Amino acid sequence: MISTFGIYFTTQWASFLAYRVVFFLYSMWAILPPLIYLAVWSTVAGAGGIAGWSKGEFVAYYLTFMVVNHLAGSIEIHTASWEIQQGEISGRLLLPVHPGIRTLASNAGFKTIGMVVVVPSVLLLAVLFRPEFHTTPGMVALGVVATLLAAALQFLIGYTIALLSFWITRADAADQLNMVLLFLLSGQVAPLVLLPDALRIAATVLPYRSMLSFPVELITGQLSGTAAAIGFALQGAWLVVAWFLMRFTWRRGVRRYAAVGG
Amino acid sequence: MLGPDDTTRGQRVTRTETSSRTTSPTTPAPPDGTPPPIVISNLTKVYRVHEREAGLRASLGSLIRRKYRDVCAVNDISFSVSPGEIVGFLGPNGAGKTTTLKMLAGLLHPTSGSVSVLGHEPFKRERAYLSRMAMVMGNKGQLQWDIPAGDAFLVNKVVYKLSDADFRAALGELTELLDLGPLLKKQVRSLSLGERMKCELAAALLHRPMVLFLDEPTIGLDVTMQARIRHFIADYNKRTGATVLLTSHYMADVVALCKRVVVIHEGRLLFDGALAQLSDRIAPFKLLTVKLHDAESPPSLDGYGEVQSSEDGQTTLRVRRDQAPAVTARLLAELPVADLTVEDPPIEDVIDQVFSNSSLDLYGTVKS
Repeated sequence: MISTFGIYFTTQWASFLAYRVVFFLYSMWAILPPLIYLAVWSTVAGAGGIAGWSKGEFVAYYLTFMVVNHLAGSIEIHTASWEIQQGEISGRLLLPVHPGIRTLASNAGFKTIGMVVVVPSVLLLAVLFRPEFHTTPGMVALGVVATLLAAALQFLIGYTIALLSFWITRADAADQLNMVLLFLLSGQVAPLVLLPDALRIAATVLPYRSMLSFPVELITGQLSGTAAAIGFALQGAWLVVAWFLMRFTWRRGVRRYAAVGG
Repeated sequence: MLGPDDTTRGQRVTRTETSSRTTSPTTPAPPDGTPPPIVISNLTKVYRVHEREAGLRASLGSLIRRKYRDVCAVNDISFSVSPGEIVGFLGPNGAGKTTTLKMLAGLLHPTSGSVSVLGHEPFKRERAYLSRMAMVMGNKGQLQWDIPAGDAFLVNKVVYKLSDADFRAALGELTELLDLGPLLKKQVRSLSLGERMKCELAAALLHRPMVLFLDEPTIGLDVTMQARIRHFIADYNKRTGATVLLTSHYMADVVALCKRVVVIHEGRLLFDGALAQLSDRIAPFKLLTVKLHDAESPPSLDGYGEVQSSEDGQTTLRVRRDQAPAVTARLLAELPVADLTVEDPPIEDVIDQVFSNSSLDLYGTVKS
């Protein structure tokens, strides 16, 4: 399975590089929306800060957010969903490997090669906006682990939504709903601590904090040890739920595909 | 082989008939008693399709109440294929050929009946099965477009867990047979249709599948490339002993590759037997070509049979097979016949009839 992932990963790189302009634009998608909120909040914070956050802390938060957003984001609505809609999944189902491995390799390929765009962009923004980090190497390390778990969670949820294409032609409508909730509850509009209680609780109870905000909070040093442990527990719980949800959807979806058309 | 009386109304084929076909002259039982790699019994596939009238009103109505209709794509068909056979699976568009192939490949779940390929139930999609079969769809490429064909083959090497030696040997062989050398470094999307089909075939055969489902492998290709692909399929079958089930709308494919054909129409099995005998069942008539001594003012031959063509003093009549001897005798007795030939219709015409809309008459023909 690892070798299969590896060969798909390699070919996905080649595939992405074949469309360099499109690839560049997609990569910018992880940066541009947070950049807007970086500009908004750093302006609002001004010289005196707001709600205990200085301008530099907002910058640190959003620059971290951009990297985590790129690494954890889901692209399955553009890959797996498309394959099902176009019937290309038939060819994948004929192979003796789970088509999800290719989808995962595509996700990983996009993210690793996309760092070529994301890292220089974030470094340039760091020079321009001057972030203030108050964190420790330990928290950053934990944040990296949380980022990987967030990526896994977003992949599973994104893949599950993409698999809805087995039933509905336009699974992108379901994806849009997920994206709106992610936009509101993942710490993009504002760091979650600044949101009203109801929204913050919703973000924590639903998977959205685990999908994006939690790793950013860790890397920027916002969390205590206990809060970090609770955050990992929530991430783990959502991963288990998302895994079973994906497996259930896959099995039912393939059964339906086999029933209605192929 | 089914005899004329074996088919009840030309539609229902029983299990007994299936086994008798397996041991028929056209589907010889293998000497070592190897079970048939493909066995289809009473296979049925029903789709539920959404439909609505044209127009805005119907469109709005379908938002609230959707109408569905059951479409029987494959209706109670049974046949088996012996090891190493190449069987042509024929029928007009919408006959159920691709649906059947997809059930054999594990992409579709049968509504009822059973399918067994290499001892597996295909829809379970077990690795052991998928590693020994391949399906090539002429109208749907399976290679990744953005990478060179050579890279796509490397993907299959890993996916099918081929050793370096096996991969090199298979690729070398396929490269030589299909002349792939210049294509391996080209992106798949920049290949011509024919080049792409050669690569699709190579990718599907790298793991040397023992069962091969080919759905219109030559569709859209020019005649030279069609011949090349055809030759390759025959050669692959000969070298590996693979069993091949092939659908094609090109008569030349069927004539060149398939001694046995299975014909379905509207989901029902119409014919299963030797290609040479297809005409007996589908087109039970003879062609009588008559040349008369007095060619200046030839009499009308309408009374002897259906006039198919008349030129240069020669008239070709279509006459029912069972009436051919009597009509021949009448012609010789009543007219100044200078020359007379009696022939079976060309197989191309017979297959053409299967594919044409007039094939709706097939039931009647088979019943007779």
